[in-house]
Amino acid sequence: MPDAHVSTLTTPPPAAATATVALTDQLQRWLAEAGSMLQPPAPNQLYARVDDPASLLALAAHLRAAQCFLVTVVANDERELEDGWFKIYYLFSCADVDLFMLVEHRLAHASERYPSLYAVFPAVDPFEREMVDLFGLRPEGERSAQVPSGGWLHAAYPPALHPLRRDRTTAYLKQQVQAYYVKPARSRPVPANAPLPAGFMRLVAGPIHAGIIEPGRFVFRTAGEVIDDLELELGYTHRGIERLFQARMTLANGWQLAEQVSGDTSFGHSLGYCLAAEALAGVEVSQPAQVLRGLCLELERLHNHVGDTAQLAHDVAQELLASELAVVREQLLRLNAALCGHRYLRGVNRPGGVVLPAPFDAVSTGVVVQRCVRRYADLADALAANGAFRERTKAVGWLSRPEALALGVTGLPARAAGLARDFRYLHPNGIYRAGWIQAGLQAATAGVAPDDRVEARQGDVFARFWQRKLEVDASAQLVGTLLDHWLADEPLRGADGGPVDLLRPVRFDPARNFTFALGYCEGWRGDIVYWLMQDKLGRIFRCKVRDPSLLNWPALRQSLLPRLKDGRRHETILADFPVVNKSFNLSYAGHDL
Amino acid sequence: MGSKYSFIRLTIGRLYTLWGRGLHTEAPPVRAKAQSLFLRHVDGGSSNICEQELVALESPIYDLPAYGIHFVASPRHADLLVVTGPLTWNMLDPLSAAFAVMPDPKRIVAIGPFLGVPIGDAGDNLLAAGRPTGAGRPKTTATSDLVAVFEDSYATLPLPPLLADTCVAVLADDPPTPQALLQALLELGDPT
Repeated sequence: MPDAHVSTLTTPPPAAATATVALTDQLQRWLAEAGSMLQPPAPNQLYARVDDPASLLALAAHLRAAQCFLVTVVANDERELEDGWFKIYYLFSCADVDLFMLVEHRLAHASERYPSLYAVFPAVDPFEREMVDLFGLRPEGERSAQVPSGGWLHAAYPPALHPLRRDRTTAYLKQQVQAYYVKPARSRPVPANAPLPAGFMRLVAGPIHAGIIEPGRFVFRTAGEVIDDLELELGYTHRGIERLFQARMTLANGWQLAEQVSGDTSFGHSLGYCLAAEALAGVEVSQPAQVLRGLCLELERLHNHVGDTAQLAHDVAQELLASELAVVREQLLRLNAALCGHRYLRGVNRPGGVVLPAPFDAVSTGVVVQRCVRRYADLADALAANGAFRERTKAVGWLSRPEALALGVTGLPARAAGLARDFRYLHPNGIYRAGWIQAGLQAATAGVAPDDRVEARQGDVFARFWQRKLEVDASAQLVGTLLDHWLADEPLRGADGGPVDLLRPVRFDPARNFTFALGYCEGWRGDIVYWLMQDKLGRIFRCKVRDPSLLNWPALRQSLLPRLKDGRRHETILADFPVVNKSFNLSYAGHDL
Repeated sequence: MGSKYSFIRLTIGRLYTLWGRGLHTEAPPVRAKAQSLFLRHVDGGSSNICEQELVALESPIYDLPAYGIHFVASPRHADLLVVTGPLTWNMLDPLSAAFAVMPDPKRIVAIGPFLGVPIGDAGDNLLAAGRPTGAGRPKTTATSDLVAVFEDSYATLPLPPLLADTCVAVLADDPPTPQALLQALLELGDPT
């Protein structure tokens, strides 16, 4: 019954209340008031161009009041295009409805300053720092002093390199960087440290840390053991990926570079990229490919959550449990290798579908996943019941719900702080749009015990651990549902034996040159968003990669600050920092690109 | 670490390997060691995938410490610097500083798509003599293509000569499996 498959895919989730329609209308009205409405790239998006700074700020205030989230900010050098100057695209997401708001702002002509939304959306901070280094665009007014340069391009780079501007070639950039470094009498600007009050100390940790971990520099201001503030200096793994998308990759093979952004999220990033490329080409992949994509996304979630739990146990010296959890993770990685030939699910996604090198054995995949998840559940329960673990993790590294909302935190840390932020529910695409998957997700959520739910939303280290455990359970159920669906449907299984090739032809129409599209999915850390603009000859004009870690690093800092909790002073000591950092487990490479 | 415990550890490791029923069920070769090997890992700018495999080496299945090979917290305690790449300009100075404080004799193992180092067929480790070695296995990533992509970037660079000269092994796969890593580390021999 092939038609039944089509209908389950295109049937939207159960009709939302009339309040949703009212909200959509209101958003549309605000956008139309602020600027001119444009044709959005996809049906679940509203798109407006707002050039007037005052209107932009007013619109941002409206969106904030409507509890919208800032998803990504894309700066684009469009000086060679129709509008002739730099533009910034803001992407907002509605909290309750599957609706995105795209706001395009063209900077005032010949001005490299733009109105900052920081007062309304503090979440723009990392994006503004990125824009200073990579484009040389600064916010107007006093905000500019709060946005230092050098976050992504450290002292080794010449000043004013601005590598994402299109008026210099990649070879020129490379030559400039090499020339600057070998210059014999170079003087590097030494940042002046602010004087410390009496009794405070500055402790610098990094960029090389004691364990096997990515590089980042943490500058603590401590009063004895208590952390008073934390400055994060990242950017050490900046590989120039966005420039490479423009210079080296084409729309058809850009997924190979997307996989390199953050290795443990290879599949999530390649999926985000492929969805953006497919949106540009106007292609929707076949249902079997969507099922496999959903399966791999959940497998990636599973192995990373298990690994994180193992590392968390290791950090609190529960070595026996850590070792056993590491074994479970190894089994999941071997399952990935058996499924697609790569332990981290690389090489599966293409624009147009998926490719597997070997026949897909749904039965044994299901058996291994259920066995591993059962083992993980036992170990996680043992860890949760362990008194020493609870002492180290309860009420430690606490991030409250209002703070998470204010900072625009997304993904797992947001869910662990009580925010319902999950693109699988909120902005479903692919197989997640199918009614039976949404029903599965609802059932998984409903099946959680109330005590578990409360513990997983406290915002502390234990909550981020327990949220992982609940997500592993939910993912296991989803995997079971997907595999049952695969086995039950004859048309899905296709020919047995031989590699799996579920590709639809993808052609990039030159008429869509210099238009853009979005691709997004809920990776295991949070939502991954790709903004992709098509260039001539099937190349990429601009690819903005947004890993959820970019938004969540400020949350790590916030969770360490001393402040009041329930009327008492809540402090974090230096010795708890590794556990808190591990509980967030943010991607350095995904932040630095 | 007495020899009576290594037998038990190896047996447990083999039992875990059998329980896994994964692709590779043979235990890595055991070698008699006169000295332990101390590794310091530095991420030179990788996509964090090689770090995942290095962490897996300390799990009970691969059990790196059973062979007397340990990751240490400071380069001052290390014999071998394990660098994952490609190397970025921002990590050049920290990496050079870490290498500088390592006591002699010191060597480097480069893991990942480094620029400017020789790459054989995927899955091979190249020892300093230029002789390819290690178990061959099917190519999973076009590592040479990846290196070619990163060569164009303004943000990456080859290993500086001081570090490249002491490089005793290159595992160019992205990432090399823990088996390949273990094989390479066991075949390195005594760095002195």
